[in-house]
Amino acid sequence: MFDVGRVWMLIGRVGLVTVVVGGAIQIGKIGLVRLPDGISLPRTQWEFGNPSTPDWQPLTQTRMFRSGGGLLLIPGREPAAVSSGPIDLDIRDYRNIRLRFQVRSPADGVLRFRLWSVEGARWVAQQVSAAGGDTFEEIRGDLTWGWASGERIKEIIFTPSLVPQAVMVSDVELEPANGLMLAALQDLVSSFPGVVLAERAVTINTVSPPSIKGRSIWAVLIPMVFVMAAIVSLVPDMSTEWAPVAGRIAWMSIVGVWVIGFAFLLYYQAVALKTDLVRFRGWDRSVAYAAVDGAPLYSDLADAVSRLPPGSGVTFSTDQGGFSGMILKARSRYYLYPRVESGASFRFHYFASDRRACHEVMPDAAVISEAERFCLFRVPQ
Amino acid sequence: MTAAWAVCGVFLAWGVGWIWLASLRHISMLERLGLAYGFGIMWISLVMGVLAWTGLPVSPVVAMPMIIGFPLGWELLRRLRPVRIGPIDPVSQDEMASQVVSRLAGRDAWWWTLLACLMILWLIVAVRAAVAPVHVSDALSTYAFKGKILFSERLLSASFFQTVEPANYPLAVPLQEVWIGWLVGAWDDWAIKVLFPSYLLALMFLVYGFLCKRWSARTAMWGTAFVAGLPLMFQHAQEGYTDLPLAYFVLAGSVLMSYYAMLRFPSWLVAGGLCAAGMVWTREDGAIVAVVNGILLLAVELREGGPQARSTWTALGLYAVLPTAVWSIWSLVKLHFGVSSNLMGYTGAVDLVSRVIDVAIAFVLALFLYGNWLILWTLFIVAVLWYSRLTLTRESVFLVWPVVGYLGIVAVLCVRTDLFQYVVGGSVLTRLILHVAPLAALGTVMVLGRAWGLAGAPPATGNAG
Repeated sequence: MFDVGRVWMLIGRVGLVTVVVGGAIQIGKIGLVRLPDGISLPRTQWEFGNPSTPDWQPLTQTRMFRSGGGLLLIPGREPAAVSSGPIDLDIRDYRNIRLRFQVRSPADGVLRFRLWSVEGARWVAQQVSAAGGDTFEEIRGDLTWGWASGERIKEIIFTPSLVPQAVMVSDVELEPANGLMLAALQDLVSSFPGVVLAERAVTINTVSPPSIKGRSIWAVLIPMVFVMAAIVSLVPDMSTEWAPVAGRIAWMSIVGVWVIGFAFLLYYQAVALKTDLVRFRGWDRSVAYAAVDGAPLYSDLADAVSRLPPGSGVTFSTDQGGFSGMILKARSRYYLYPRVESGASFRFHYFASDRRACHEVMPDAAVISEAERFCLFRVPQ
Repeated sequence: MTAAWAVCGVFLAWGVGWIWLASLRHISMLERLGLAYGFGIMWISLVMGVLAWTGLPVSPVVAMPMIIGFPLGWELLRRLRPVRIGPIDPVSQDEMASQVVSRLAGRDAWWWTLLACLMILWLIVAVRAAVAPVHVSDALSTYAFKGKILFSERLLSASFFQTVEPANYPLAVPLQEVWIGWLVGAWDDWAIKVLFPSYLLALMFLVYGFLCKRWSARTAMWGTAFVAGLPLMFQHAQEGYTDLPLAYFVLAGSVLMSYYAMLRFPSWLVAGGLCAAGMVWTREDGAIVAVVNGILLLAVELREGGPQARSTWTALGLYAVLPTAVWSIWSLVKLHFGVSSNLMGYTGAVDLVSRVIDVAIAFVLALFLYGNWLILWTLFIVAVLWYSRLTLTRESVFLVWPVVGYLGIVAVLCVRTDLFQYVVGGSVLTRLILHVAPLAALGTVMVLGRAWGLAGAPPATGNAG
């Protein structure tokens, strides 16, 4: 007897399996995209031919262009140089630095590392040479000299040719000390996502996943869970001998993946707690405010307010531009309330980085007080 | 001392809620504990909001008698009535204590391990909340700033709305922070954060209470760990954002609505309505879930009695009265002070196909590939697609479909409005998802627990876990 209902049910189940497995494959494919830098492990590989790789920063009046092959550096009067910008990597985790670039004429260049430890910062230079010609050359710089020091690499500056000439840089990579497999495991157990949880405001929007080489492990695990869940759901309809065993294995796999994820949650939160306890050490409130503001803004504002006549209003300004400047303004508005008002007789100017003379900031205003990071003015009405 | 007073503020909120919940029937002790904090803190912020609306000073002298006095009066009235209307099973304190002890002694290693993990996680975020001042952007410059002004000025004025930004956000969380400020006696950037780990703790009590009424203690604890084990939720429990409070009210509201669907006591409906009021008083987008719940309630009622039945419209009225009142009053206040809504505008003609693809990719990233939800959404999708019949039961309909409705509406808004720019290339979407994530987790646990035969035998009585 032809059971129409059963056929429809079968078609429905096959359709669902197709949707679920197809969706899982799509998720896996999207997951192969590198995670955004804010929540990813620190970048150690730059493929400048890939548009999603961020640029390095040109130095010494170097003009920099992005082309299909990488970063084209055109020198000014001085040799072309580029900087990685701020990075934060433990030198012991890397064996070599690999560089791939092209210069026309034979060239000697230099690779400089800004290293940091609790004893302070220092620069270390390393010479590199290229034969020159029409093809890209690959060179490797040894990093094992730094292993004993336990320092952190804070910036890399690359000058490919000490004679000014155009250079095309295609790749920079810090090669892991432990080989690829162990490095992947090192990525996986990295405490970095926990540190980020404590230190970066962006984690209120998104928590970093455990990752390997900048790719979320969920790109592999989620498709697997989809397939396992499909198996668990199909098993009751099957009458084969192995079906219950397959169902049980699939079910245990799902539980296993969840337990792994939960363990990472615990691990990252524990790291975040440790980081927070160090950051906000000793329950000292001014230290805590300085830690969250990135500068002793709170104590500076309190100092400035103590120098103002009682009840007087004040406006806030800062040299800091961009998003950081906006954040400083918002924080100062909050800390100074109810003192902040537009058109007030006093102005508090804050130097987040480079200090200028107060009279350069407001030539027409009288300086009533100044300190290491601020000037307090009486504003002409 | 400051910390002690701040904790005292939380306990007082819990106590006020505990009293208000005395009229809910068939509620277990743990569920009452889980709901009490939300009801208490919402009552406090609503009273303060009404005072501000009527032009009375929002000060402890005026507000405290109302905040404490009304629930105490209610409790007194309840005790003086000849027939006890409270729901608690008539067991003595000694009996209850011995029951709890004997049950705890009977728990297995899995139960204790999971409990220990959850307690450790909660303690971690509670300590993290305690050591740092409120500092993450919106927590400080939007919510705490509003609270600081209200704490100091004690009234809603035109200058308040000109100073704060965005002015249209509802005031529940800032007013709750003012409450802690009152208890502490000063505005304190550390003390106000005590509110947020408490929301998480209440949520865990509620989920465990709900599950252990139906399932064995071990399965209920697994389910609680699944619902609570959302990394982004723990991150929100240590900072003063409004997303976790909204997620709490969404979950609590849906739990209450599902009880109403099963038991049909109007008191559950009123309580569900109060949670809906909590949603719209916490965030504007809470209105989406409140409306979806209303539509689901109408569907359930129509299925039960049809459009002619008086009970259908009475039920809808009972549910809708509180959230509508709160939304309307807040709208009038905004109108009075000339505050416009920042609800996203229609973007007009766009390449719809490419937008849909962009939004779909943003959803895939946000639901699956970041570290926010573990495997929640994978199992949720399986539950909805595979076991759609189970999601339509009275027990589960309010646990699953508000999530689908909310995410569906958010997806449409992403495609058709300016919300698109905040979602694609930004991370706002994950916070929007957080609003329904704990509820989705509870719905998933209920549906897959039944479908996959994971639920053990329920305990004999439902008053302790």
